[in-house]
Amino acid sequence: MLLIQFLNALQFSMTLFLLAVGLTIIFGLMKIVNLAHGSLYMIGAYVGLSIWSYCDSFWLAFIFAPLVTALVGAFLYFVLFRHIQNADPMRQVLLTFGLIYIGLDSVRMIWGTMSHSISAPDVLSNSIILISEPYPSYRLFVIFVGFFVLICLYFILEKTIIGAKVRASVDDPETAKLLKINTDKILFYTFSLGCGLAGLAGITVAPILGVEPGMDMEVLVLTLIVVVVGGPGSLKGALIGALLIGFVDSFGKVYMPQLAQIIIYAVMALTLLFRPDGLYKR
Amino acid sequence: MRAVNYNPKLRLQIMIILVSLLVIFNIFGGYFTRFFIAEIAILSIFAISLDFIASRGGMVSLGHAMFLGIGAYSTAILSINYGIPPFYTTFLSIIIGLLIALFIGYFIVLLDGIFFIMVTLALGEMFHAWVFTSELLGGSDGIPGIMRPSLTFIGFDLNEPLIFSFYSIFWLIIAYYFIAKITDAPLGRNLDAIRQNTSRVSAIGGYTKAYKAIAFSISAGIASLAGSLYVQLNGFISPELTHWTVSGEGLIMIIVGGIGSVSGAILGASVVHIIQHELSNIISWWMFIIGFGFILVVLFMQDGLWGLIERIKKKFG
Repeated sequence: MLLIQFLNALQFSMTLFLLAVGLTIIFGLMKIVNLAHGSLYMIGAYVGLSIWSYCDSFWLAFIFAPLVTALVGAFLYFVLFRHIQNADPMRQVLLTFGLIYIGLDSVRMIWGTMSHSISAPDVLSNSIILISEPYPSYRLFVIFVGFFVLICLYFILEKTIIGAKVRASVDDPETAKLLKINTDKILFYTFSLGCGLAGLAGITVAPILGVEPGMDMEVLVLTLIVVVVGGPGSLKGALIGALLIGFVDSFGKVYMPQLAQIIIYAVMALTLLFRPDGLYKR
Repeated sequence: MRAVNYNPKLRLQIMIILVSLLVIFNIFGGYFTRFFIAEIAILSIFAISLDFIASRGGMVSLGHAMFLGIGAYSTAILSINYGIPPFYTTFLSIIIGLLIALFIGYFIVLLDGIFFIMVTLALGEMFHAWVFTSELLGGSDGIPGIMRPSLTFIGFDLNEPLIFSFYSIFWLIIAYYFIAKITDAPLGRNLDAIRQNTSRVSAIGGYTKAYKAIAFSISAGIASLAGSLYVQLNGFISPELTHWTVSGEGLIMIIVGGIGSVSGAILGASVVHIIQHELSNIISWWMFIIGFGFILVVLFMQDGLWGLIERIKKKFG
C-alpha cells in the first residue's frame, strides 16, 4: 500500500517536473514568467488526442504532440515574447494572461467542450505485480519518461558545449554575448524546448487524467509553486521542488484530504519565509 | 520601474465626467442598466485599489481577488451567522481586509517584481482552495441569502436598483477621494520614491517596508469594500469571485485606463466591463477576442486611455 502511494507520488512529481523544467528554463533565460505554460500543456494533450484518434497510434501522438507544441512555442516566441523581453514584469505577465484566454477558447472551438480520454498503448495497458499488489504499468512509464528527460537535460546542460553556452547565457548574458555566444538563438531554442516539454507532459499524462478544457489552470499554479519552491532558473531546483510538492500533495490527499491543498501553499509560504531564493540556490 | 502618471487636475476632471455619466445612465436607464451601473462602480473600486499598489507601490498583485473574497465572505458571515446589520458589516469587512493584508504584507512587500507577482498569485489560490473546501464558507456552492444594508431610517430603500447604484457610486467617490488624497500625501510621495529607488530611500533613512506594507493593506481594505458591496448587490457569493483571473482582469482594466491615474482605473473598468458584456452577448468565442485584445493593449497602449486624453488635451489647448 505504501509502495503504491510512493509510486503514485513519484509519477505526479515527474509530471510536475516536466512542466516546471520548461517554465524554469524560460524564467532563467528571459526573466519572464509564462502563465501560458499550462495552455501549452493543454495543447500538447489535445494535439496528441487528434493524432491518436486519426492514426490510432499512441506512439505517433507521443512523438509528434511535443513537436507541435514546440512549434507553437517557437511561433509565440517570434510573434510575442521576443518583443517584450525588456518590458516591465506586469506587462509580461498580463501578455501571457491574454494567451491563456486565447488558448482556452481555441481549444473549445477546435475540439469542443467535452472531455475526452486517450487509452494507453497495448504494451502498457495492463498491470504489473509489485510485491503482491498490481500496479498499472503506464504509470511506471510516466516515471520513466520523467527520469529519462531529467538525465538527458542534465547531460546536455552539464556535459556539452551547447549546455555550457546555455548556462553562460543564464548566468551572465552580456559576457556571454561578448564571447560570441549567440544568446538570441539560444533563447529561441530553449524557449521552444521548454514549450515542447510542456506538450510532452500533456500527452504523457493524458491517458491517466484525460483531456479537457480547463486542465491548463489545474496545473499552472502547482507548476509555479514548484518553480518558486525549488528556486527559479535551475534544473536541480525544479527537480527538488517537483519531488517535494508532488509527495506532499499525494500523501496529503491520502492522510489529510481536507488540508491537502492548503499544505502545499503552506510549504511554499515557509520556503519563501526562510529561503526566499528557493530551496536550491545556484 | 519608470515613473507613472500623475496629474491631479486632469484626474479630478475625468472623475467628475465619469461619475456624472454613471449618474445620468442610472437615472434614465432601466432595471438592467442600473444593475450594470452598480457592477461598474464596484469593479471601479476594485480597479482603484489595484491601481494604487501597482502604480505608486510598484507591487503587482495577482492575488488581489483574495481581498475581494475576504470582504465578500466576512460580510456574508457577519450578517448571516452573527446577525450584525449589513450596513456595519461593510465597515467591519474593510477592517478585516486591512488587518489580514497588514499581516501578509509584512512578509511579502519587499519581494522583487516578478516574485511578488508569483507569491500573491499563489496566496490568492491558497485562499481560493480553502474557500472551495471550507464548510463554514459554503464550499463550492457559495453562500446565498445575503441582505442589502437597510437605510430606511433616512428614507432610502437599497433594494431599489436605482438607490443601490447610487449607494455604490457614493462608495466609489469615497474610495476615489481617499486614494487621491493619500497619493498626494507624504505616503504617496514616499511610495513614488521607494518604487524608483528602494535602496536610496533606505539609505537616507526612509521606512521602505513600513510604507509598502501600509500601502498594501490600504489597497486590500478598499478591495474588501468592493467585495462587500458586490455580495450585497448580488445577494450571494460564488467562490469564483476569488479566482486569480479576477485579479488579472483587474490589472488589464488599469492598463486600459492608464496606470497610476486613479480615475483612469474607473475609465478602464467601465470600458473593459462594457466590452466584455457586449461581446459575450454577441459571440460565443468572446474570450478569444478578449484575450487578443489584452495582448494588443499590453503591447501597444503604453499609457492607456488616460495617455490618449492627455495627448488630445495638449493638442487642443
